[in-house]
Amino acid sequence: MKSQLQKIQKVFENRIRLGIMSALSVNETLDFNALKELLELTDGNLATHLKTLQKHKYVETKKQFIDNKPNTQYSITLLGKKDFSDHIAALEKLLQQLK
Amino acid sequence: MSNHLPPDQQIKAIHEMMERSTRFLHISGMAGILAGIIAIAASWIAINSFAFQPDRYTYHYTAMGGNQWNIVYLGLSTLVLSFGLGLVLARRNAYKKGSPGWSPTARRMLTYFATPLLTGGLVIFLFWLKGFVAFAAPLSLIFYGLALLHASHFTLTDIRYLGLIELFLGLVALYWIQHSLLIWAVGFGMVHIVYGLYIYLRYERNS
Repeated sequence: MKSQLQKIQKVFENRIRLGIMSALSVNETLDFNALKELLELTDGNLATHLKTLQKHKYVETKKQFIDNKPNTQYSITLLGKKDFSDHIAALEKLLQQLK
Repeated sequence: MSNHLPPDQQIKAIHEMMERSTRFLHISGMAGILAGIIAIAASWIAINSFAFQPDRYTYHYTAMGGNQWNIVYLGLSTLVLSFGLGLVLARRNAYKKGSPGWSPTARRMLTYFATPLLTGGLVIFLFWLKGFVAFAAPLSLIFYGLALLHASHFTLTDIRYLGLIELFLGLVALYWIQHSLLIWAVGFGMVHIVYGLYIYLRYERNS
């Protein structure tokens, strides 16, 4: 159980991945450019972190075409939602212990 | 800057990103103040220059020697000017804070704001065509209030109370139709100036 929590923390303690998860947890979907604007990142940097989150099955994609241009919509998965709220709960618990 | 954050800063970063990705926070109080002044000027012109002062719901304005299209043009220019100022000044605020002027949050807020407003505009126009001229002032307050209430989920929460005030004034104006223009001037004029000043002092002055 403890190692599971540590694994979650490893994914989320990075500030960019934390930002992506925060934004996706309050938006149904966001496309690549919207995330890029919000997080103020370069294409490559954002893509790397999105891939990591996809690999952990925290983020899923839906590809579509808008005006014949490919557009990828990102959204949070059920597992992503669960582990992210677990992570927030763990953080809050930790903070309370420190007080 | 390190990519790894201590717990307290993680929590802070999460809340900031949640807010930044859903709400457009750069609306302009200055635009509110200016829109208020424009609204008071417009109602003054309507009453004093165009002799527009409906005292019942059906109002044969043309029969009183006035041209009712004057009032329509006046209303539309007031709307376009105030809305335009709101857009331009909000964009400027956003640029000043280093965020893009036309972000997904701005788009979403505008969609939520514009839908009730356009519906209201059409309702007022249809009533007007059927001779129910005096519905214009109360209904514009009511639909504007609903639009603000709707948009308040995607911008500063303070806007919610502005929406409720306009909604209330609209209902009062609907009942006391003979005073509806005066109440309109209070709602779009005075309330905008006071609220604009509040937003300006609270969020803009120090930036």
